[in-house]
Amino acid sequence: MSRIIQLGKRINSCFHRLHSNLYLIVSFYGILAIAFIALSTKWFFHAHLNPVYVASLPPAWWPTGDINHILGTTAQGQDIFDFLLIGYRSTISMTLKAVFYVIIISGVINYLMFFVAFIRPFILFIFRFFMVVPPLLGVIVISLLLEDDITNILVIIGLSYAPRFIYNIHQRVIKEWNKTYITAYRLDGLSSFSILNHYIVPNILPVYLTEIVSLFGSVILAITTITFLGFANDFSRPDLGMMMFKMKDIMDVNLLAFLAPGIAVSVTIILVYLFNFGLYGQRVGH
Amino acid sequence: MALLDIRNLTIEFITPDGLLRAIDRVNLKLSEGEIRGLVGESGSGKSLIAKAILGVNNHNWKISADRFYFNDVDLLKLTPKQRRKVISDNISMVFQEPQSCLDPSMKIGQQLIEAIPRRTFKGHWWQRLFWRKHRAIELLHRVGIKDHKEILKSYPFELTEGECQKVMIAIALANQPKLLIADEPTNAMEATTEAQIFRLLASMNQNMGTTILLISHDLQMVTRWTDRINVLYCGQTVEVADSEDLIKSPYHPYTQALIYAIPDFGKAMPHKSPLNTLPGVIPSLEHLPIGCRLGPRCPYAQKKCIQAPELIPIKDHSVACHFPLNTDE
Repeated sequence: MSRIIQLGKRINSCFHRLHSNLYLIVSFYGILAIAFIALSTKWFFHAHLNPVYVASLPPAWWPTGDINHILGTTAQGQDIFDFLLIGYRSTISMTLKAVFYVIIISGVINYLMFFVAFIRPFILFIFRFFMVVPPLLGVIVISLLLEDDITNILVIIGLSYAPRFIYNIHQRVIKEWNKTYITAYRLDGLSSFSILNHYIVPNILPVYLTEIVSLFGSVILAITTITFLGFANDFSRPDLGMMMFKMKDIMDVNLLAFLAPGIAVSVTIILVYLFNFGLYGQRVGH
Repeated sequence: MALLDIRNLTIEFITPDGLLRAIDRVNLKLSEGEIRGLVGESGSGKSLIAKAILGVNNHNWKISADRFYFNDVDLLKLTPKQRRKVISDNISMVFQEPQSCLDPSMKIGQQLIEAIPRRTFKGHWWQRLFWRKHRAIELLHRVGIKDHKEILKSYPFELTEGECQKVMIAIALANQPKLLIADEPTNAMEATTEAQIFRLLASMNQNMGTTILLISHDLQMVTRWTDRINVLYCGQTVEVADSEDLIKSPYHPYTQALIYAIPDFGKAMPHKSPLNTLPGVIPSLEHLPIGCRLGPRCPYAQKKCIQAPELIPIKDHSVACHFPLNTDE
């Protein structure tokens, strides 16, 4: 019973903290809105990619525009706003997938690097190689050698960004390990495993979160750029980069159709960074 | 019986250019219940010795000693796990900069409760309920913190340096250690808090018989609170003596220089007059002088000082100098 009360108190305290900081208020509700948009493209917006109009339409505020198609339609008669919603959902899901796999793999490698000292130089050597290969070059090579598939592209993007993520977390863990309070725990006779899990991880959480946010920003930009350049374009499941690639043909008549995916990506990155900034500020007592 | 008996402790750093000897053949023998001072400038190796005793060394350190006994147990022959057990059961340490020694993301109460070992429980089985919390409160009262409710709920950044150090001492007390190593426990603290901390350490020594190794660079303060003092310079012991003897008649020129460097506020000092210091600075490990390490800075250095002096006992006083001061010879 007391645990339930404590949980309730914690939720209440989280709610109060969330509303004590303008950055957190804006970003939290912004991210909620993003999640809602991404999850409700079908059942709320009824978005689809079937042709809905016979020809290309300009945005609704133009004299020849139609209010039912707020951003207009493509030359094939597809609604651009629906295209944007579906593309956004697709981009977000691909980014989250890539970030999730990078976090899981990085966690395992970080543990290995911490406990098995002799593999550290070997792993760092491999990382150095992957860190100097730009993701785009990797994608070009993979699309030439293997299938030009979104899974392969995601693997390449993950491999390009994982080393930096792992390296930064490892450095932070080592820095924390050398701090005096960890020495005090070591003197208490605690094992390295228990120190890492119970004392180091909670203390590097803000840094971990910052790294995840930075990774999210990099991955979403990389996916958009690569699909914009025409790699791994699966027209049955378009994403924002692919949308930009397609809309560049009607840029002179409907500039917003080309800019909208870029704006969506930028707003997402800004909101996620704001959320991280708000949270980190709270933890360090600002 | 000696609680800690270290003979010819040598700590070397493994570098790409070879071994650098940071601590050179240091002896340290602590009897049960005594308060020993370890004095020297920053960089003289005081904290290194403490870390070597506790076994918290880096991978690039090479530690060797002819004898490294704690409570009749040879620490160098133990496995890391066995050594960790011996150290955690018997030795506690109070660090400098207390705020950085406490976990920043955990409340003081939780940290203090976690530091209380199960073996310290005394009482009947029905008293086990909340015994750790009661013990934590008792420990806080013992170190002079009356408002325990507020402190237990606080995070380290919400407390002052003095309060943090008292909490650190409470954590050290929780373990009921045989040996307490206090590494500059009052560094950068105001005078009143400093006095409170030392009084606390002294009462711990008197009431519980805890042996204390007090590490500091402040000779005057160490003299006031310790029974015997080891003076270190550049990783070598230069003088060992009872506190009163040492301050009254130092044998080593370095100890004398440390005493002369204490400003005497009882006398009128001429405006902008320089304080008494030795010329030069402590040499880096890469550029240690041959022979006596104080040689280039010593006002009494002679030709013979290019040979390293041995630590010679003179009555109850030991000195590593070819030309000791204040002796009848």
